[in-house]
Amino acid sequence: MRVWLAQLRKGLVEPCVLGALRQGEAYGYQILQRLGGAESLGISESTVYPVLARLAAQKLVLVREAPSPNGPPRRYYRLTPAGRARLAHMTLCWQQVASVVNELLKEG
Amino acid sequence: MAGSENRSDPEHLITEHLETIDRALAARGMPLTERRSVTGDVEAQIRDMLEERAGDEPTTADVEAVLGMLDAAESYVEDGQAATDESTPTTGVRPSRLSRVAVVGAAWAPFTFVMLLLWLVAVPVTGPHGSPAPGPAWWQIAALVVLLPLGSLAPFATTILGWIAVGQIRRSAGRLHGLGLALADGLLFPLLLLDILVYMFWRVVIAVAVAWKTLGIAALGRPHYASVDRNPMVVVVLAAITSVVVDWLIVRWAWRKVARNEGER
Repeated sequence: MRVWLAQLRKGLVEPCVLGALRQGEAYGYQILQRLGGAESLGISESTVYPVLARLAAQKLVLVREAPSPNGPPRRYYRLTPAGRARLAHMTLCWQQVASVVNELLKEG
Repeated sequence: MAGSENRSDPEHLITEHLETIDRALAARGMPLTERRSVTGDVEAQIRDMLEERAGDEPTTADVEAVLGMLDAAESYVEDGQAATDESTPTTGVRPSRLSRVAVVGAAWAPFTFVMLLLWLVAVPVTGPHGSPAPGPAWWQIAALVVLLPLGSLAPFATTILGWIAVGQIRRSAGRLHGLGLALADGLLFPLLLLDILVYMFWRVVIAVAVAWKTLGIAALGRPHYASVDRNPMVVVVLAAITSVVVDWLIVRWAWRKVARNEGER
């Protein structure tokens, strides 16, 4: 059961991170805080930061460094047009899947 | 004592945590640029959490408390799963190990020198009546016979194994180390060969110069090797200086090349 839950969450990290960035540019810790509301997703920094790095490498998010008052520069992430398109596609897929699964799981 | 104080230093704890994460990410094959991105985000988060908790002067206890709130470095081993999958034990960070190929190459190289030593230096033995025996000791001949195949193949084997190890280490994404040893294997015998060529070059140059000085321009085509061989120190010194400089430049160039390419992967 937990393996299944882990796999489910794993697949949802990327759309959730992209979704968190739809609200606007943010640095890593801010993104985590935005995702913090969805505790059932079980998303933490060890899942989010590698995904952010991969999204940046795929040019789905843009990275901008800015000085931080507390130490090293903060890396601010924002969606690129390709990232928005990916998010729109993922949103559509999720809605279709959720709709079908909800229907199948609906109690009698 | 100083070491233990240093290990509990707040900055040291943070650095250690970031390095462990970096190794975990490297173990799963993440490129250096992405690893830097991740560790940069983690460090920024740690600094923000420390600021929220302790202001400008965090203590070791503050750092330990903040690190305790974060995911363990091992959670970074597998993308998106370890942090959420409580039933699956984490595999842990596979420790980086020394390249065996590089070690074998390094272990093979000395056979050449031992073989040459046995070949060139005959250990004097005495005959049955105290007179010097003709030829080297029996054990020296036996050792030479045993070492001949290993020693004569070592220049090729060490060089080939060294460059194979360099390739393996660069492709290992942090799972293998020993790049310096591998490069030393790969360069040792080629550089020795180059040093011999450098010596021969200077021998010819000095022999030509001596012939020119003593016999004039007509002797340019007839190098005077006899006088050079009678007093070889000039050639040896020139060859040694040239070899040191050339070897150093080649080693530096090669190291920069392989180390940079390893980092870019």
